[in-house]
Amino acid sequence: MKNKILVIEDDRAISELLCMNLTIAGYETIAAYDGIEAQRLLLWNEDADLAVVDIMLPGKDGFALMEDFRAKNLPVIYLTAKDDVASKVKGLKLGAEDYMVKPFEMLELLVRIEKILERTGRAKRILTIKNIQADLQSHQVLKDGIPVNLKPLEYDLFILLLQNKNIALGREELLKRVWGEEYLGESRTVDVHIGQLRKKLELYNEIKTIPKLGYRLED
Amino acid sequence: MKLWKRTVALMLITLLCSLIPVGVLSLYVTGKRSLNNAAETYGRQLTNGKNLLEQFWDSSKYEQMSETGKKSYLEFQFLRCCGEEMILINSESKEAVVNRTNYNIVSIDNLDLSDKTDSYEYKIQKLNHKYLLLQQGLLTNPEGYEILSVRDVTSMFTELRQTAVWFLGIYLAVFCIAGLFIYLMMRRTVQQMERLQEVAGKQEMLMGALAHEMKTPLTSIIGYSDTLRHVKLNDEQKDRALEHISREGKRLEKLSGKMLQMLGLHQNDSIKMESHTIGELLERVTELEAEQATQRQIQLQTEYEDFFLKMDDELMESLLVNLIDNAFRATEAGGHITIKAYKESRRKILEVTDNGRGIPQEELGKITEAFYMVDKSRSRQEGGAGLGLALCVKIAEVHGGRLDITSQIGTGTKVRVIFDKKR
Repeated sequence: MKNKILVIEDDRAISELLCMNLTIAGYETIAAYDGIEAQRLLLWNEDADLAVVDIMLPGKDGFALMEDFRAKNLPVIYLTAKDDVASKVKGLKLGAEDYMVKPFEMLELLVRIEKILERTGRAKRILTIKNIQADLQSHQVLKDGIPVNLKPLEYDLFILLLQNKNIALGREELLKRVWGEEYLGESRTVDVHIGQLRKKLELYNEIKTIPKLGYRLED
Repeated sequence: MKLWKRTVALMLITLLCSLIPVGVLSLYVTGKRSLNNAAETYGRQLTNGKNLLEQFWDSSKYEQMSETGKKSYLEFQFLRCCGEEMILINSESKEAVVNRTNYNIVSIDNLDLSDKTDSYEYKIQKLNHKYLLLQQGLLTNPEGYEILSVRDVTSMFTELRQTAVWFLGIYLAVFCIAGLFIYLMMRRTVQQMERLQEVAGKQEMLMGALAHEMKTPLTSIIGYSDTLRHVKLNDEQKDRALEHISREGKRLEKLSGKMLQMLGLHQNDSIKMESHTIGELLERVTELEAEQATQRQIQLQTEYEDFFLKMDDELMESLLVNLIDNAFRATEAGGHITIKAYKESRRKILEVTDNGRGIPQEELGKITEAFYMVDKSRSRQEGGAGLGLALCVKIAEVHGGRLDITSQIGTGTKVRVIFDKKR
């Protein structure tokens, strides 16, 4: 089952951009283009896990919508062009989990969504690709139902790729997020671990090397 | 306290501080001088009397006289030589021998007018409501007598008091006028400052709106291009992404074009005012908009009285194109737009009328603000940047005109550009 995300954004282009990326990253998306529509969608989608909300919306603005989200206990990320501190403070004080300013990095938004889902216990416990299942709770990776022995760093790397399915991640990005900011090793380390993953999980075609960018797990 | 009030108060206090000492000093100087003059005159009279008395005085005769004879001789001589307002005093007994004044001597011990350097030395004594000028002269012949001159100088003091009242009146008038002027000047300055502040506030709002208007398409462009680089997309998705990038890019271009035009309007030297006929302008504009009209299946009509108008024809064209574009966006297929030009009680009027969906009454006041859109998402879809009407207002202003918008939901909108002045 996929996590359901409400995208409340009045600019069609940005709304479509969000939906496109979120769908590819493995989420189910529902879009609303104004405040009133958002309220209606909220009633129909009791099972939504998170809302990405613009502030300047026709009908009812993002701040006013907060009440409805709170009633449903739905975590909210504000995604807006309003970059003044007052708006940020207001948004966060109203109860938003996060506040991002346009223009934004899609990768960053995905990470933040992931973190919020984890924090609020809404993240999917089991991620799958082809015949492989990764259980985030028991830290186990099963291939055709049989556990695969992965080293901790290999596991982290695999989960990161899995969570950003279909999105290319650079070597630097992977190093930073798996090995940590302080790690001083070279990016070749990543290549070695990727090689191990490909071999152990037999994902030779799925884990793609993207020239100049890094790696991408495709299904 | 507000700044302007404080400034006014400070200036008035400064004025007061300078006026009071000047007034007091000038009063003192005038008073002193007139007293000195009086003292000199009266002193001279006293000296004359004294000299005369000394000349006429015959000591040998006096010695031979009896007491009563001496007394009457003294009296006779004094009356002969000295005028009125003088008293002959015996230096030893300190008593008046002959008194020609209306005053009685009580004591002259503390008179102390023995300064030899100043021959016209005097003292002022206040008696009831009168001011008396006292002067003293010692007689050498006969010895042991002195003359006291008592002059009434009350008039001098009243005069001085009158001058003071005059001064006060003049100062008060000056003070009030100065206060009024300062107040008016300050108020004007403060008003101008407030106006500037208002303009600055508006500018800030405009910048905020502009930032928002630029960020939205940029977010799309950056987002889609990043997605194209990083994400595995199918062909259809790739096409959509590219389409969005191109459309948002065009939106930015349109926005920057309008912004540049707005900036151009602030640099007045780039505006060329020439007389053109309205007919020529309207023909050109309808030609420009004809294609869009057929595309949207909207009927475009023109009705005009031909007259001359002093204008920058490029700007006027842009004004009309903006108004017509707005009308297009508000009108469904099958509707019609009428462009009129006519004179009405010496005013020249351009009018664009549509039978579109109209503007809500409460929004009418706001639609000329930059980046204000009644229906944001719809307007964007139709390709509006939110600057059109703001630009129109500016262009009209440059030509000495103004915009008048009337609208009714469902029946349409009428925008009139009114040129009040005879141009």
